[in-house]
Amino acid sequence: MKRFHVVLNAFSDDIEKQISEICGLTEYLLEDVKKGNTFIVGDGKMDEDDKHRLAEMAPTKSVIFVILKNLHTEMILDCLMETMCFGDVYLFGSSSFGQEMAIRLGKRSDGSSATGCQWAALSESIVYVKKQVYSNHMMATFCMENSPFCISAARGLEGAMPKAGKSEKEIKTIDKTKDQYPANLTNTIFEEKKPSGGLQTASFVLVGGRGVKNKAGADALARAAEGIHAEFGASRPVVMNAWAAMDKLIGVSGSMIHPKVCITAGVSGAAALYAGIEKSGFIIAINRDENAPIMRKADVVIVDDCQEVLRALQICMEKERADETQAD
Amino acid sequence: MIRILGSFKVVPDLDQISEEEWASDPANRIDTSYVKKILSCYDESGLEMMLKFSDESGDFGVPVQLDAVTIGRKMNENYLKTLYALGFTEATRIECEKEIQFWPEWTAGILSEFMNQTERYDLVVMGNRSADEENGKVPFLLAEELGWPCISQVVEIIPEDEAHVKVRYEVDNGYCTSVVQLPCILSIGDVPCSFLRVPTLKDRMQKGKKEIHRVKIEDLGISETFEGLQPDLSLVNLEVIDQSRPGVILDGMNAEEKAEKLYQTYLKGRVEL
Amino acid sequence: MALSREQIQEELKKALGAEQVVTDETVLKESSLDRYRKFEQVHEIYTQPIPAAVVYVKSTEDVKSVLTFANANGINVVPRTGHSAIEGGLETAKENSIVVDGSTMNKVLKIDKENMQVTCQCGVPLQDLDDMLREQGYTTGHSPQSKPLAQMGGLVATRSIGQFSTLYGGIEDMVVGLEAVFPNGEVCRIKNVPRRSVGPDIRHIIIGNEGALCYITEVTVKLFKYQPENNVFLGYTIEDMKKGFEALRAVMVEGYKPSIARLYDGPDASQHWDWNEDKNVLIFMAEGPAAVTKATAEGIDAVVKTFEGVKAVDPKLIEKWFGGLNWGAEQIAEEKLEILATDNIGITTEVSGCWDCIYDIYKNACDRIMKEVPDMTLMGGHSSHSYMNGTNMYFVYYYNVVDCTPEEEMNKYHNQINRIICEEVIKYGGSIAHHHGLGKARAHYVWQEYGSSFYMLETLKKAFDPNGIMNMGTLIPIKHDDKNPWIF
Repeated sequence: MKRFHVVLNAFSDDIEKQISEICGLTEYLLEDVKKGNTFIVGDGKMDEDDKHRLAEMAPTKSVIFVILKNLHTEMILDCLMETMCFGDVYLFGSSSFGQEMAIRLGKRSDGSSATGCQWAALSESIVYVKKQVYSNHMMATFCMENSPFCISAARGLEGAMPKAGKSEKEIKTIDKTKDQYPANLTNTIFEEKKPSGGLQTASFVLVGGRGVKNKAGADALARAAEGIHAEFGASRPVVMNAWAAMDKLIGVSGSMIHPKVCITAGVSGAAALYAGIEKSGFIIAINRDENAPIMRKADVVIVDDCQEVLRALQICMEKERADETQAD
Repeated sequence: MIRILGSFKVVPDLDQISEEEWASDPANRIDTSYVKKILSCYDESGLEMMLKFSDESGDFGVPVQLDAVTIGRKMNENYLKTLYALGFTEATRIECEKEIQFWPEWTAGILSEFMNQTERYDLVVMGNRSADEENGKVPFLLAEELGWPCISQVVEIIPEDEAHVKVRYEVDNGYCTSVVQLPCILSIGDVPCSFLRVPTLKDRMQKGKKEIHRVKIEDLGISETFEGLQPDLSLVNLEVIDQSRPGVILDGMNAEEKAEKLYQTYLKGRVEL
Repeated sequence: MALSREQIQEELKKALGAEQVVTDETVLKESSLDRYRKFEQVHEIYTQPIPAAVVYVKSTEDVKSVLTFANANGINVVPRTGHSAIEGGLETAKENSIVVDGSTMNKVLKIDKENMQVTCQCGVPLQDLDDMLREQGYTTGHSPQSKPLAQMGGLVATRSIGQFSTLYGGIEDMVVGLEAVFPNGEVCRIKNVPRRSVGPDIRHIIIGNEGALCYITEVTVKLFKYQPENNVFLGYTIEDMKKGFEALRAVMVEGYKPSIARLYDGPDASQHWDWNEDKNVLIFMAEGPAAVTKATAEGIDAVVKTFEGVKAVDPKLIEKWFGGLNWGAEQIAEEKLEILATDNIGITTEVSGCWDCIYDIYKNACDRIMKEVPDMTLMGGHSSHSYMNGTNMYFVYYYNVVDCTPEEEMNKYHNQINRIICEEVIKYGGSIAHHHGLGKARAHYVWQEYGSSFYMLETLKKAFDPNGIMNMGTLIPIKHDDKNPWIF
């Protein structure tokens, strides 16, 4: 009988994301996973309330807290190995922690591991996984050969969170804080990633093209970007007309961006600009000219005046925001 | 002296494959034989990092020797020659004319045998994954084989003393800098703008002609026909991911209606309010 | 009394409206150079005089009014469209120049399928035009590497050439008619006809004038049928480069018309492929109706195989390489990062020569550069455009910039290499520029290049631009040091 275990890292504050990723991996999870454990690794700073809150989110009935002095993979591996049975499946989030754990656990237990998976089918007999290969050009399906099966999720997977169960959680705690830790890493200094802001890291970008017509048009678009909480960028004709600053330039001589969503406004879609936005998750093109090349390279197109559409979009989003605040 | 082994893979330059080509290929096999090969980008970052480390090690009074190893075809020796020209001491090709893919356990097994049979190394530097396979398994598997620690997502290596190096690596919400006791494996992550430096033609003439060591796989105790060996994952199917964008036209009476539709249908949930 | 910078800006704003006149400092700096000063450009170092303004013209009338104003006041004008020049043609060599940008004149005016010609304004991007035509089953046949950036006016002004030139010819073979504005405000149109015998072909005063005589506002080029399904590819390695040139010559002399006929030397070939084992590579592509491409490919194959040291390679290798060939947009972005990270920079210089000397030009220039220039990391090249009487040589070279500032790089490396190439070409009677234009750097060799015919070039310049306002320094240098022509 297969047991499905979930391993979560409470040293990181994104447990919900980890669970969502793991749920995104497999639709069977909600049913079958109950048979196994959720391991939550964290430090001694977790109090009973924290633990209770985390246990409630866990997708299994049985929750095991592993308390460590610091995030040390060796200690976690030891702990997982101790409780392991033949046929077990271990599921991890997409972080480098999840990836490392999946690979090491698979190797150490003579099982198999798969990393960065988009999908996993966990039947009683065979385990299949799907993952992107060849720089995201192809989706590969693999059959996993040996038990136990250790699988980490792909970045950005999103699955429905398990509903809070009615049944009581069974909570256990394993305290590893008193153990001897191998000391191969010392003097560790942590620096938090500064939200660098700007176009390179923005998840939502509005790019203005020649269709903004003049400085006033570009300024209006920049304000619209602010209104919809998007970063503002511009095509080469716009910056070379000094309608926007040079550091707003998107494309081969400026920023190559990869936001989740990119709206282009009055952009024709010249090769030099498109190369800069090609990696966007979702492209929305607004242009008066329905024959502009950009209209065939976007996910969604709107044939209309870009200023008018964006003004309307800003109003629509402001209203939505107000509703949400009220609901809170 | 710190002896560092840089391990690298030569991979097809996937950017050279056209969209039509991706779509046309039959299932289970991508023919990349006609595509020019390049250094896998993470390995390239690692090799350049080794050279920088070596440049700086003099100031710390730590002598360093840089060696390199790759598994693959004769063609790969061009890269080993380049590394000689840049000042590497020993360069080895583990001969394998077959294209082995999606089998990181095999790669890690060969590398660990190779390391067991050669002199002691203090540090292994390798990219965290290759662009074609995207598994990211080899460094951790090798670490398990050797019983060494492995630090992943490394972005910088700084000399410390003969038994330690200082390493900067990316973690989920930031960067850590730690002093690491040797031996250790460093798996290289995303390092912006790290390109391998280019040797001059003079250096190629003078240093690049040094003999490349060749090792046969069976000499490492591994059967060339891979009898009794099996990958963790066996490939069942490959399908192309459609990269084209549909260009769905959003209709509406006026700009307001279109904006409303745009928000409700496409933006809600995708962007933060 | 010359106008001040501010007065020039004011007058331009009066003439065109403030919206079309840009005086923003970063835009002006970026407009003071082109990719000839690539190393300075990636380091954001600007050594050339900064122009007084960039003006975006919207019509022939706009061009006329700017040129008339500049002509009356002796202000240097630099015409520009796609900003992809690489030989210094867009450098603003004189103080307070006006850059006249035609990229907003980007309308395709007429696609005439009956007469197989298309008329467009100067700012139409070639990529957009050709993509649009291909969808309708046509092509301009023009496909230079600058295609993602270049626009029609600039392509004609520099006598551009594309990858398929051996079949379609250079831009001079494609242009049927034009409109251009001269410094005194004269607007000249040359009508579109199949051929004429009415005196000198005055199209050639405009084609290749590099902005030094007039401003091109409109061009009409030929259309061709686009039928890529019939393309046939051929590829070979060849031991000896000299034999490689002989093979190219034989293909041309026997009367074949491939669209691509190229010979790469080992170092250059190794940048594109790894199956050639450091050997020279010959490639061909036959284009056109199916019956023609089949016969062309068979004929070329027979000719090439008679040469010693030739080995055929799987044509699929060439076809797939060609299909995946990246036309550059992403590469330009990556190149900048790479130069900044490694201080390694790659540049090209293209020349031409007759069959009897092209190998010597190639060999001597490569040998001398390797000996005389420090820090070279790659020296090679290819021939990519062949004719009945000779071919071109595209030198490709990389070097590490060592122990010098971005400002010093030009005279330490780039100009030195260019000097050696020009000296060797002049020695053998070739042409020092095959298709990038003479620009401002190689202009220092204009006298040797033209010989006794310099009289005609100088007369044209004096006649059409008597006040010396059109892209000064291009074609004919402003200052020239006879003893050290390459220090500037």
